[in-house]
Amino acid sequence: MVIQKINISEIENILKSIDEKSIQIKVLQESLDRVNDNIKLNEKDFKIGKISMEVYKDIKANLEKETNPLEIEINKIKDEIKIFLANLSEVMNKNKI
Amino acid sequence: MGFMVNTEQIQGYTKKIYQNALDVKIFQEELEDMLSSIDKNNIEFNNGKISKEIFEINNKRFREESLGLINKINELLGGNLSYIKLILDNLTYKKKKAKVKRHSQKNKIRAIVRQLSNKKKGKVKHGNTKNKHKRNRKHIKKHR
Repeated sequence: MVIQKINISEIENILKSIDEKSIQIKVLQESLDRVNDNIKLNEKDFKIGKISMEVYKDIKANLEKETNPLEIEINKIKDEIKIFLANLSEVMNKNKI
Repeated sequence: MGFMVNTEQIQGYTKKIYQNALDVKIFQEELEDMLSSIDKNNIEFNNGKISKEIFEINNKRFREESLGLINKINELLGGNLSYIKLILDNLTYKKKKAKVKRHSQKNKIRAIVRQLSNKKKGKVKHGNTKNKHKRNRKHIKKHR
């Protein structure tokens, strides 16, 4: 008697994609962390009078411009991972007896 | 700052999913062998190669073992579905529910009873502004 077996290579490919995507998220999160640190540093510099209000606002605006695309990219990758996970769930449910 | 995704945790779960999938494949192969044994046992009995007693003993054993394998397979697949859910949870930010103080029914009743008894005693805080004004006027006259 022959039963339909789990497709390991299919699962392997899906898991590989998830791992790759999670590495991408990690890199982007690290960049986002750096930008957020700079935002804090800028605020600190302004508070202790190291930089003028004008310079502070200028730097702040530039840094905030950097955070948005990073957050968008991270969310995009998260959605991609969710699709992979849906496919993986399908494979698991298909093999239940 | 946005919430952070724990990527190490995700990779840990993918490893576990892969390992479970490999185990599922092994158990599926064993199950296939077991189902073949059931078929073979049937054929041998039908051909008169084995007695009814042996057929029944074999049949019972093969079926029990098959059931055990099916349970193991489903358990592993269920485990994988749980890991998938955990990865999903890791990706989605969930707001912590604020603790809301709920007044128990007992407290509500106590509050109503207190209100009613205050009314009876005339200790009503709200309303009855007429008396309040009278009292104020008396107070002013006294000090004049």
